[in-house]
Amino acid sequence: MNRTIDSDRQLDLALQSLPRALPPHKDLWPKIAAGIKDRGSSWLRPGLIAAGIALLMLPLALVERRISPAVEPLSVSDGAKPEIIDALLELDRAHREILVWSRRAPTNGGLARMAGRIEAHRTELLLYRSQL
Amino acid sequence: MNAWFWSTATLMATLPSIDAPGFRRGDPRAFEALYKTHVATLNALALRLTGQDHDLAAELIQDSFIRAWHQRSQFRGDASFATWMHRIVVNAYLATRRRSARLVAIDEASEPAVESAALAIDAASDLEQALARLPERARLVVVLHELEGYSHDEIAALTGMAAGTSRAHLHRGRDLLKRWAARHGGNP
Repeated sequence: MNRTIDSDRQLDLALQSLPRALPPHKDLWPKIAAGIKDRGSSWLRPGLIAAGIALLMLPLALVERRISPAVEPLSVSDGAKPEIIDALLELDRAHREILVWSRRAPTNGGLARMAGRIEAHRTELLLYRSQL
Repeated sequence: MNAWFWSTATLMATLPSIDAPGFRRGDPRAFEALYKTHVATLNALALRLTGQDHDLAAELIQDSFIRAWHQRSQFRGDASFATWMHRIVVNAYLATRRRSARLVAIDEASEPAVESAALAIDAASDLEQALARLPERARLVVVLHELEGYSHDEIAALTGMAAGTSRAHLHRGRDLLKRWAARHGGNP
């Protein structure tokens, strides 16, 4: 028991005697000074960086989550509104895929499924829109 | 020498810095003065967190000061600059570990076995080296609890581990260090 207390005290004393300050081997200030030069407001810069990273990550995510074109034709049961179809048609393929990817849990009927088929069924989609 | 370092560091941490208001206003000279005052104590913390990895510690310090500059509006002055900066360094270290998925998702089995860690620690020439050879999470808890004064609840909040797990890591780390201290007479 005494031995345990001794070793605890011994360790505590050793820990307490460690230096509280250890200067770095080199001057770190020049890099810090370069890093704090004003490059936009404090909230805008992280926002831009985050947006940039998100844009860089999107193609990777799309490759991983690519939606295979479905084979069945579109039907009214897909339930998308005309203005949404218009918006989808206006988008290029990459942006449509981004839209689909970002809405993996579709809240508007079969929007995600329909958008995944948009390339394969563009004609049907145009026809479908004209009937709405 | 060590006692002098400790008392100076403690004094600096408790006294309100005359440069802090200038820093909050965005004065780079005031910030540089704060850097010069606090870099050595922050570097000691970074070195111990990283297991004496000087390059990684330097990166942590640089990133932390740059982060502090951009977050200076959040420094309200109700804590000392040193306390505020220490927390930024700890958070930056934890963020680095999370990014490399070696702390949060770490598998217990991937940590060195107690015996192999004990052997490495026995061979350490000083206490700093023994600390550096502790298993990563035990080292983190020992540094934060024993040297920086964090409670287990604070460590739990910072790291995501349970307070009980923090206690267990402290116990494990102390047991390993006691072996070293017994063998080397407790001289750091």
